Amino acid sequence: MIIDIHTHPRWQGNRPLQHPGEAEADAMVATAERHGIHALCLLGCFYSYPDEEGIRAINDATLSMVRRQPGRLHGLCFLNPALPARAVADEVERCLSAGLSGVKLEYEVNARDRRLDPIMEAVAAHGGFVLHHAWYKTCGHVAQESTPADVAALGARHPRTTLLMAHLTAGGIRGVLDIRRYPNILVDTSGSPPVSGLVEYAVDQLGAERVVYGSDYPIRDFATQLGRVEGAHLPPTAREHLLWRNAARLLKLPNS
Amino acid sequence: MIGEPLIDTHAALGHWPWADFSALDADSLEQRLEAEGIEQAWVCATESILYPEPDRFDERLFATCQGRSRLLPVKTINPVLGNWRESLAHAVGPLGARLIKLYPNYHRYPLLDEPAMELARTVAALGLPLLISLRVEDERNQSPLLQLAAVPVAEVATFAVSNPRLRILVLGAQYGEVATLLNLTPNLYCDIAFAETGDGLEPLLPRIPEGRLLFGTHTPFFYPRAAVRKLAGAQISAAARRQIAHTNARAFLAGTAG
Repeated sequence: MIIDIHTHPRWQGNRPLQHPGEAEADAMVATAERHGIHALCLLGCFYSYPDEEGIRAINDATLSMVRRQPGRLHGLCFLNPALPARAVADEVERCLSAGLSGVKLEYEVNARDRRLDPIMEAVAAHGGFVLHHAWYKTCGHVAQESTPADVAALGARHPRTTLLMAHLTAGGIRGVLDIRRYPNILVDTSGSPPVSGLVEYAVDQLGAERVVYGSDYPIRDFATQLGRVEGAHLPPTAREHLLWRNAARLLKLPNS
Repeated sequence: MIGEPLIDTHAALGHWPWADFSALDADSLEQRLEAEGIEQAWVCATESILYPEPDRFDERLFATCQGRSRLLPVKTINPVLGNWRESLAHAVGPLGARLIKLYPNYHRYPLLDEPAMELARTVAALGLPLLISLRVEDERNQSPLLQLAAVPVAEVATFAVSNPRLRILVLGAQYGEVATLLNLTPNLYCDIAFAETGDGLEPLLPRIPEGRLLFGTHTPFFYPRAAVRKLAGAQISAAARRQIAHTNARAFLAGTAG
C-alpha cells in the first residue's frame, strides 16, 4: 500500500477549477492508482493569499472531492491566517468537523507568527495535524515564507500538535537538523527533483516514523517522487513507514 | 521495470562538495546501474565541474572506465583554458573519447563567444556529438556559497542554430525548457532527468519532434530509480518508450539520428 500525503487538486490562475469535485477526484484517484498509490491527502488548490471567499471555495472543493472518493481521498483545510481571527477559527471548525484531517499552511504568514497559535491548539483539540510549507531557498524566496527553523519554532511552541513539515529536499540536511529534537515534527519527501541521499539521512536522524512520502502532485509527478523513496537504501520496514504507515497514522486510518 | 535496455546519458562519478558520494566507486556505480536495468551510462568526472582544469580528473575517469563496458567516459572541455585544443586532441586520440561535455555556467563563459564557438566547429569537424550541462542542481536548492543560474535556453538555441552540423544533447533541462529547445532546431536533444510535471512524460511527447528525447538519471546527484520510474510509468507507446530508453541515445552517439 502507498499513501501520498502531499497532493493538490488542479487550479487555474487564482481559482480552483470550475468543477473540481467529481471529475478531478476521479481523475486523481485513477492516476494515483496507475502508479500503485492507494490514497491521497489533498492540501487544497494552491494559490496565494486567498480572501475568505477564496478560502471557502478551496475547502469546499477539497470536501467535495473527499466525499466523492471516500477512503481514497483525504483532505486538509487550507487557511490564510492573515484573515480575521474569527473567520479563520470558524473555517477550521467547519472543515475539521466535516471530516478533514487537519490544516495546511503555506506562506501567507510566517510560522513564527503568533496568529498561528489558536490554529495549532484547535487542530490538537480535534486530534488532527498541521502540514506546513518550508524551504531554505537560495533564490526566489517569497515574503513571509517559512524556513525549517521557523517551522521548528512553531513545533516547539506547540508540542501537543503534530506538525508535518513539507519538502525534505528543500530543507535539506539543515532542515532535518532543525526539527530533529522536536518529536512532534515530521517531514514529508514532496517536491524538488529527487536529490539522492536525503531520504536516508532523514531516516537516520529522525527515525523512519518521522519521514512521510509525499509528491506535491500535480506540480510534481507521482512516478518521479515515488522513485525517490523506492530508490533510497532503506530496510523494508522503514520503507513501509515512509510509504504508508506514517501517513495512515496521521490520517487516523483503521489498522494504522 | 521498463522491459527495454536503458542507456543513461546523464551520469557522473566522483566527489561533490555538497553531497556525500563517498560510497560510490566504479564498482558500486556499475552495480547500481545494473540493478536499474541500465546497460550503459555516459559518465563524466564530477570533479571536472569545479576543479580549475578538467584533465586531471578526466584522465582518472578514463582509466577507471577502461574494461568496463557499462561505463562510457565523457571528456569535459573548458574552452577558455589555454590548453583546450591539446586536451581535446588527447581526448579523441589516445583516450578514445566519443563524447565531449561543456559546463558553460560553472566554467564561466558565454556559449556564443569565440572559445565555445571554435570548440563547436572543431567537435563538429571531428564528427563527434557535444553534451551541454544546462544545470547540475535545482537553482533554488543550491548552496548559498555557489549560486549559479542555468545556462540560458536562448543562448543554447542560438549556439545550436549557429552550428547546424553539431549534434547537441542538453542535459538538465526542465519540462518547459525541453519543449522549447527541441522545437527550435533539429540538432538539439534533451534528457529526461529534470523534466517533471504532474502528468509525467505523456503531454511532452506530442509537443516535441520524434527521436530527440533521451533517458538520463543524473545519478549520483539524483536517485536513478526516479527516472526509471518516470519512464516506466509514462502512458506512451512501446515504440516511444524504446526510443527514449535506448534507440535515440544510440542514434545520437552514432550520428545516425534525424
